[in-house]
Amino acid sequence: MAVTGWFVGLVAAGVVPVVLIANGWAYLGWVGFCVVLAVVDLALAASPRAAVLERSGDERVRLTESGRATLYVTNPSRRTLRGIVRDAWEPSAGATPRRQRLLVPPGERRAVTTTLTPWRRGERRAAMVTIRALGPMRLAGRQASILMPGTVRVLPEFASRRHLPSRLAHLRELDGRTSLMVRGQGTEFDSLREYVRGDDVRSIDWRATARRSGGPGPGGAPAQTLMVRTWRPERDRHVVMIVDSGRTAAARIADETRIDTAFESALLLSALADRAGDRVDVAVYDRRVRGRVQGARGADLLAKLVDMMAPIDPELLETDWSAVPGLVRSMTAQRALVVLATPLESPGATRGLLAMLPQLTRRHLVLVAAVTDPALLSAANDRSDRASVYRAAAAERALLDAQRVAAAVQRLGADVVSAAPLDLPPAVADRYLAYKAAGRL
Amino acid sequence: MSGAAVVTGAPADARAVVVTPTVRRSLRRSLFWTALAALLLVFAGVMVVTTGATADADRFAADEAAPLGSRALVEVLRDAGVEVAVADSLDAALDAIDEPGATTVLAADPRGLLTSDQWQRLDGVAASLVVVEPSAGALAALAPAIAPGVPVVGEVRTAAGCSLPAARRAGSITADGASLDASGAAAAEVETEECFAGEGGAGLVLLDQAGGGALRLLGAGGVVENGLIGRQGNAALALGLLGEHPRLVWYVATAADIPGGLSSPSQLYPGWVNPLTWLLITVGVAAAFWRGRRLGPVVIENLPVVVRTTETMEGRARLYARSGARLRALDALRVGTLRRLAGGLALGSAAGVDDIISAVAVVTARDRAGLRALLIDREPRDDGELVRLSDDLIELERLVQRRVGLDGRLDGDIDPGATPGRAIGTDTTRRMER
Repeated sequence: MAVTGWFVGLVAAGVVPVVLIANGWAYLGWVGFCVVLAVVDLALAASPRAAVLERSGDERVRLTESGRATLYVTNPSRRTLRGIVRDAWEPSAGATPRRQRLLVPPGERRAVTTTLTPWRRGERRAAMVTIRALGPMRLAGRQASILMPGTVRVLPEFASRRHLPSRLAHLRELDGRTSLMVRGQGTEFDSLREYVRGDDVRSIDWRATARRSGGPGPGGAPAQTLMVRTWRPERDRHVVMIVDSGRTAAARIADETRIDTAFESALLLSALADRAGDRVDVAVYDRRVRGRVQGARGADLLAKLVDMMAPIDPELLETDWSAVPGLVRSMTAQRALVVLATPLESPGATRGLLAMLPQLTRRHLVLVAAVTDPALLSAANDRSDRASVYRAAAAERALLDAQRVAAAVQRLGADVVSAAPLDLPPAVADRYLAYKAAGRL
Repeated sequence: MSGAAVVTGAPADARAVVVTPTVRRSLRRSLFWTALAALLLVFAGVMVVTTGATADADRFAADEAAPLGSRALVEVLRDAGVEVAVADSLDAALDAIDEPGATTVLAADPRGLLTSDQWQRLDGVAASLVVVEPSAGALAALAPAIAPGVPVVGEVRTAAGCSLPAARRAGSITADGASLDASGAAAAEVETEECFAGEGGAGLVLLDQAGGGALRLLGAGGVVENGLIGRQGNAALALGLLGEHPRLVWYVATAADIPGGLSSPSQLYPGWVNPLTWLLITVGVAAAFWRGRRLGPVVIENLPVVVRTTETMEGRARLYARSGARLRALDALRVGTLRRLAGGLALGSAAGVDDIISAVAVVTARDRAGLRALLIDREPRDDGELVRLSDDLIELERLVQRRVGLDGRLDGDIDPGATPGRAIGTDTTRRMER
């Protein structure tokens, strides 16, 4: 049951008869007339309960992008279904328009399309569909909300993919596809080819050169062809990334939660390492494995990763680090680069991590990727008045704590990379490239 | 990113679950409360009708059950066999007097509606005229010798002081109401008698009407009110005064007595105003239903918990400030400065405080004692000194930055994990050229 603005206008139009007749009966008569009209209109309206609904549309939407959700409304009755329909999505699904006009002739079907621009990662749900069917006079309508679940999976934004081209270019430099061919530690012998001007003379392979030219011929010295060795960085290494989804990952730094930053880092590192020919395995862990992607390569890897990450929100639990070595062992048997995405804040909060680290560093190359808070730095630099000096002191103290934890991690044989949320993914990627160039993988 | 068109909802032929209750179901559900509300309305209506009490009670009204009314007295008089006629206009009151010799007239004008001329018409109409709380106009018309006295509240007068048997029987009364000043009567040579005299005037004055008959001016109007009639001898006085004769005309002035004949304010405006007001109220209610009917229930969303990272820092800062831990706060600032100075001067993490001070002294050409005092020894005595020392530390850092030529390096770029691999571009090239 609902009335429209037209009904209110109709009642208000009663001013004319009431003033002209100037009688209480005029008022009662007019109101009665309006009510009768509304009841007749209501009786003539199509039943919204009878409408048959069906959903279709995008199954996945990347954060910050838009998708479409289509609702098909079939009118099986013999009356025209006209009125308003609302496809009730969660607020953070960013559904527009919220309500739409609907006109379905008897026995026909119409599509109602809603644009979804979600602003939060995860599974966004639609709960129900509400239809308000108006009568032919548009005075009153019947309304019903029909449970009609629908979901759209909102994938992580992967905003750091803009850093990917520059890192890939760097990777190609390492990979021997450019003219710069340098022999370095940790590189593997790739092939022999002819010397071209610009090659490093140190990479000339004299033995191969001699074999190729065969020796001086009878008709004088033939044209000498110098052979150079080419090298390429080591391939088929293993990168394991563990993303901490415990309570500290829920903290929001510079409008991004730590876990989102960790996901960005994981996506960039995975894209890069996959192109570099390494195997990438990712696990999200707090006290249990929240998500895991293993053995995927190429385009499949990123698709699986974003799909795995999409619904994961941090749990308000302390991460159980003692089980992480076992988790890493289950993911790789050989030596690997293990990247732990977890904050390094206070010595107390990282005790579990520090206790576990030696087990990992004994076998693997361990890198801890930590998000620093730019607010701490700005607070430490602000000394404008008494209160801000105390804040600066507290911020310095926090920075000192973070540094002590980082030093402790480094003493245990792991590396630390820490940066502000937007800088962390490229910093992790750069560190990976540095390892690769240095052949430490 | 758009995936394949996939139906995620229920199949089309499945029976849809409708959340909105049907009209019949919602009626049934609200039956109890509707019945309860109707019951309460009926109860309230019955109460109003049976008790006659309304929110704004009419004083001295014969059918008013509120404390200010006089229903109790009228009912008792009726039970005692007095024939009580209630009149709500002067004309009706005069008509109601059949036998002037055996009639008591009670006249009251709590709202001050009657003019002196109207009061004049009451003069001599009955054997006994009782005027309750007479106004100045009434006094001027009926008893010019009597002047209005001071209002009395909550005073008990115990001495009748007059020959009226009813007053003597009453003994004492509550004198709430107006008092009457009869001091001018002797000069005007009018025979009066004061009862329940007290400070400011008498509660009851007895004299004769100019037109013949007794005139009782009852200043203490509380005597006939429901609320006070049970106190002291009020009831005895009221019954004695009003039960003197077999007939009683109970007249309280109403709007009908206003000259011009307008009995209600509604006669002042056109007839469509009331229906129009009702119509506008109806439009308002209809508009409320129109805008108030929401299009389906609110969809509830589970939001993830959001933790602010600086909470610990802010809390610690407030603790420092509240407990006045100036030295601790300054030490934290000093450690930060020393750390950055050591980094800026490339001293390495193993450098001690003295090494840093020596290096800074060399770079800035300041004496070591002053630097040592700033960086280690001085203890701030108040917050002002703390702020000054903090400013000095910042200034020292900036000075060293300028001297070393690392502008911008120390501002904010503190990386606990800074290791040589950080500047990837230069670093890897260097390594590759090796």
